[in-house]
Amino acid sequence: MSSFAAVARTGVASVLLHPLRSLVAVVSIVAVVLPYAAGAGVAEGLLDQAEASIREGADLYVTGTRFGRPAPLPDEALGRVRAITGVRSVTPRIVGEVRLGIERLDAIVVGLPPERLPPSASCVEGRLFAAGALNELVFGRELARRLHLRVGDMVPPFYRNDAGERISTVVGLFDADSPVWAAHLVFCSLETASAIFAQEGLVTGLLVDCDPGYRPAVMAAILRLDRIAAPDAHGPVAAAVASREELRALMPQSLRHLHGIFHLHFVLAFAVGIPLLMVVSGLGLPERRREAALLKATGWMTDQLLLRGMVESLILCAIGASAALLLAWGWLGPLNARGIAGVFLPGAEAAPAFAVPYRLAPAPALMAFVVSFAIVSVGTVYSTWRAATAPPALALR
Amino acid sequence: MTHHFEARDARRIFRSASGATVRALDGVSVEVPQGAFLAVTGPSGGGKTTLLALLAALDRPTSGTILFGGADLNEASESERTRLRRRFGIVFQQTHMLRGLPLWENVTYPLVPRGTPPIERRRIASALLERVGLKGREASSPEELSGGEGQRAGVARALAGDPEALLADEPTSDLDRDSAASVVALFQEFHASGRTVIVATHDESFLGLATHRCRLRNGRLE
Repeated sequence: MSSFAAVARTGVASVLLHPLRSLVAVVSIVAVVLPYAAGAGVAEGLLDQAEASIREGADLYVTGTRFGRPAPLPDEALGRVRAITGVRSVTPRIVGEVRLGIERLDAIVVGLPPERLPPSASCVEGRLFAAGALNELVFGRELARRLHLRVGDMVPPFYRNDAGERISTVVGLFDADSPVWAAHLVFCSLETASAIFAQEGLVTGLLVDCDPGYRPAVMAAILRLDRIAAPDAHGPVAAAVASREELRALMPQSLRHLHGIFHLHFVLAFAVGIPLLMVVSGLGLPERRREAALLKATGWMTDQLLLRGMVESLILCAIGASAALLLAWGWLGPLNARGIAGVFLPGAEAAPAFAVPYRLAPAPALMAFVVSFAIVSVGTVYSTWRAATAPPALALR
Repeated sequence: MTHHFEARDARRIFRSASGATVRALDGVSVEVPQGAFLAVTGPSGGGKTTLLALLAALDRPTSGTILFGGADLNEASESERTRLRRRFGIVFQQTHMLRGLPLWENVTYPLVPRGTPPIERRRIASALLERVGLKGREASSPEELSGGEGQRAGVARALAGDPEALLADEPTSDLDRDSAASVVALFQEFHASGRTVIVATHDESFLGLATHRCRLRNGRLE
């Protein structure tokens, strides 16, 4: 057996030699790494879902702008875009926010033709709303559960327009690959959405699918249109077009922004944790000094003592990081990201009523492990080096 | 003539936290030829442990010279001094065992950095523990040993590396008469093989074996 392997083996044994010191070091690593791993897991899960939504969406998203801000598009824009060469289909869509029930739960109403429901959302109870039918609503199953609604229930008037108040009917419930959708969305016909928001003849956007190879040309053609629609009483509306690729870059930006803020918080937490971990890893310093002095006195070289300390740190970090990742999985899975989901999902309760998406990616886990190892090593190796470079007789006195 | 160990006008001054200075060793010169048995005697606080630490390269003198085989230890780097210590067996006044490790591991821990396989270490430990009267105690933890047993285990550890010199600080101070006799016999056997022994002691048995003697009081040779 080489002396390197023999010394490294004593580093493994050293973890058990000082059980209290090892336990406190592992607990400290878990305390610092667990919130980071859980937060990064939720952020990664949400990013995955955003990517999936974009993947199954349209080639181009056309919206109106006024003063550089989003503005609704008149119906007639549909015909002008459809007439462009290379356009395969154009789907009008209305998206708006409402509050429902005595709990005043935030929900998002999406009005569109029934055949354009996203493929990842499927009706699991009842039926879809009929094309052109008024006041037929298809609720996300989780949202319906929170509002205590079932198929066939009447929804008391929750909006008021020129035609007065209307009672709506729950005709179906849908489930989606994205649990966030099922917890927040209500699908209905364009006509219903127009009535809810009292914006007849207007849509919030057009979903444009293009023939293969035509997307850049269609995009340019839409932007070159003199007017996407005739001016209304407030003047013309300009067109804004975003491609799937642009959305892929833009949509997760807010999540990445939150992710970035979370990273910053983590770095700050770590900055506070560093002295803690160093103290912890140097815990029992007199004992470590005495041990290092004894080993030096009996012929251990300084680099062998440092190797022993490094292996000990590596083992502690492996145990700490693994425990933190396991607990993060438990926090995100069985505990459904209780307490941390709200950081990434505005409006989510402390105990979210829907399955919070998550993915424990290797990169953040590896980063947490490496940083923990570096810090514990500094604490362990520095204290060992200090003890190893002093005359053994002094530490053994 | 080159001596095995030599101290020339060695001084060791310690400074306490309050700033007071303690002259643990004050101009001591000692020569230990190869194969000699040196007994260092004197009252407690006389400087025996300090002299032993300097000769064993466990500490550096404040001034003066420590020589091993004619080489000046003051000029040796820390790693050279550590490598040198592998050639000595050192018995500490306190047992200094690693808590949590079984006795056989403790006894042969100095062999780990030399790459000795665990099976071989266990065999060596068993043989040494038998020689010091601790047969069958391989798996015991240091906490389970009495003071005397711990001291005998310390002697076993010092012998584990088959050293060319044995330096011991009061190795029989906590032992009963029989145990002390067995340890003295070990030292005698070691010395009989032509190797050097330096012992700080009050034990008359050791004085009988000594080929050289020195007595320290207040850090000076008497």
